[in-house]
Amino acid sequence: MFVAGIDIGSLTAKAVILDQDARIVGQALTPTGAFSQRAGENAFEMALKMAGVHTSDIGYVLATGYGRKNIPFAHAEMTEISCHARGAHRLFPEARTVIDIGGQDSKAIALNESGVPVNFIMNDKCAAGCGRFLEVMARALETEVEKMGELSAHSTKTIQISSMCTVFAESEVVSAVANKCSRSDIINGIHQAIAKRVSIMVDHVGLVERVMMSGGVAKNTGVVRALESQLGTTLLVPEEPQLVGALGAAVIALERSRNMRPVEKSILLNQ
Amino acid sequence: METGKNYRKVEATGLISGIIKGFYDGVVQAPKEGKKVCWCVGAGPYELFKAQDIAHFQTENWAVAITARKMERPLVEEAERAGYSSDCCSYASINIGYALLQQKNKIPDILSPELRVPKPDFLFAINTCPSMAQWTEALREIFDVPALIMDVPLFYDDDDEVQYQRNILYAVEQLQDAVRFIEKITGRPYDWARLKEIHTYIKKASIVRREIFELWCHKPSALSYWDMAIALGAANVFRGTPEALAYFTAIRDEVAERIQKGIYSIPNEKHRLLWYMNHPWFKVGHLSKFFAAQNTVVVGGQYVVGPYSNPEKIQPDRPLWTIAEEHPTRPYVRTMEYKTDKFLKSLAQAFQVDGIVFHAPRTCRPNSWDHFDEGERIKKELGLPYIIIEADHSDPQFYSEAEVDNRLQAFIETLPERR
Repeated sequence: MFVAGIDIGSLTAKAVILDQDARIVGQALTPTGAFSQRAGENAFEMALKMAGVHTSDIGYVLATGYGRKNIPFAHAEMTEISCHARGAHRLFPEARTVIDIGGQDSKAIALNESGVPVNFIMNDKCAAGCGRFLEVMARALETEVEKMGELSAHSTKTIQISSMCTVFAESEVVSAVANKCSRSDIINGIHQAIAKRVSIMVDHVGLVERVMMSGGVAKNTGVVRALESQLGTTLLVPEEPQLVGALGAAVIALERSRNMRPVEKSILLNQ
Repeated sequence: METGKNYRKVEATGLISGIIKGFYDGVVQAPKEGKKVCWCVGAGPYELFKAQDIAHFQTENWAVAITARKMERPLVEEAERAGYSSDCCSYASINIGYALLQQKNKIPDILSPELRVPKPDFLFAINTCPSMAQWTEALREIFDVPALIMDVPLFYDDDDEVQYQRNILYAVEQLQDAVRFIEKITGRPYDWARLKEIHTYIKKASIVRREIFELWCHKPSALSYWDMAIALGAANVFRGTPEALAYFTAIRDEVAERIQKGIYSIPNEKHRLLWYMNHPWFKVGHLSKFFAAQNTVVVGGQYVVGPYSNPEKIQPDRPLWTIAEEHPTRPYVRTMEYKTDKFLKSLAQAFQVDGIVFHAPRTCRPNSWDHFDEGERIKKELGLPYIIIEADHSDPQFYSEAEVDNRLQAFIETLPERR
């Protein structure tokens, strides 16, 4: 029997399939779009194809992310706090603090030695500093999000981006461009602003080494460098930072499937 | 997946709808019956007006009825159009918006007939919450009617006996002025016998409510915070009647029977959380089911215990003293230390909770200014985790269900590991 974790985020839907030895045998990432249920189904099918298994081989599916309640084929759901913590622990058992910056959410999670969260904090009311924020900034600077890390590495001057609001921050960026500030300096300023907000959240839950970063923004080497500088540490960054939530959901799914009685397993497999 | 269908509401609480309808029908009909109408702003001594047969209602309770029926939007918008910040107390925005529309004869069609309260002949306010005075001044400007604003000292301290007595006397003097005003506006002597009768009913109900409170402490719980929220009006503006007494008696009897039969609010109660200060009135149904889906019962909560919760302090033969001992001593005029000890620590221990949810309403900073410090102190002294949820008590524009649900669920998921 295999298990699956599905993570429906604001920008992307992810799926991870594990075998009974907790090995990743399938994974997928696809845009969420306007229809989260369909995105979840697509991600699940893509991961199944990669694993070479069928839906009937999956004994337990756990969903997470904002769209988790909209996945009819999931057996249970848990918040991304629990799933990111477990996913981080699976990849880096030494991780005790997780920073996750996704499309519209940023969070700092303190976890124990078993990968269970013991404290957390999330951004409230405002998504400035998350993935969508970076998309808006990239557009304003006529570049791509993927190139921002590299561009910021050439920064020679610190520029303050002080606006809390994404839209007003875009105006600040436009006026910095008009004042002939270099794109590298502006992007570095944006990264520093994000790192500042997030490092305050980390302080709130208490930084305990080692610190891991997950979520799509972890692919931005500029944000990673800015965070490392502000926190005074080296971050653990997985190869696929966007899949940590789905991985954690799959890990929890595996545990639950192992704790089920045989008759319960049989009911699930035959559904 | 779990859907919260396992939440077991205390059925007797549903009787409140009859009480609410009867009460507001009386208010709406008052001008036709030649009765004076008073709008009461704040948790005040409504019995003063009830005794003299003055139609009255509490503007906050009325705003709760409006928002629970999802009729608040046009009223809030009218207040904002008139220049009131959306950060103003949302009870006030709803009520002031209504007043403005009423003066223009433009009450929105969406408003239920029984909630179309008549214009006031006078206003009464008690400033235990600092917004009350400004709110009442706004209404006075709109309606050009007399306003009695009862002042209470900020930060009431029970320990200083001399100051305490002085504060009571200060309140009594103002209540005496209010009685003189009531006699003048109604053109007849004050009905002290009727006031005594009302206080007698309040006292009897208070004894029953204390029994309910003691039953509430039972673990597992046969009564939830959401049941008590529904019942709050009967301890507040609807109090002092045989109906309110019968209402609480029915609740007490049902809860006692549930405990005897092992019927609890959450069949598989795994977690117990204390809810601190007010709550989103327009989400009581949703939150009761949401927490049930997490096998979590919400208990304690000073806000829903309501006024006159100590029957020994209710002396029907000393009505103004009784009122003066009760009304100026509401939570908002208590120090942070007092609130942490009495409303958090003792309740958390009495109810044996696993954590605390602080509701920080966007439009009520007097409610939430000290939440972080209170939470940190309880975490240190009792080892209890807490979460602060930012929402609002009556304006849904400040409530994000996905955000609130997500954070609460994540908090509950971390509970077993935190203690």
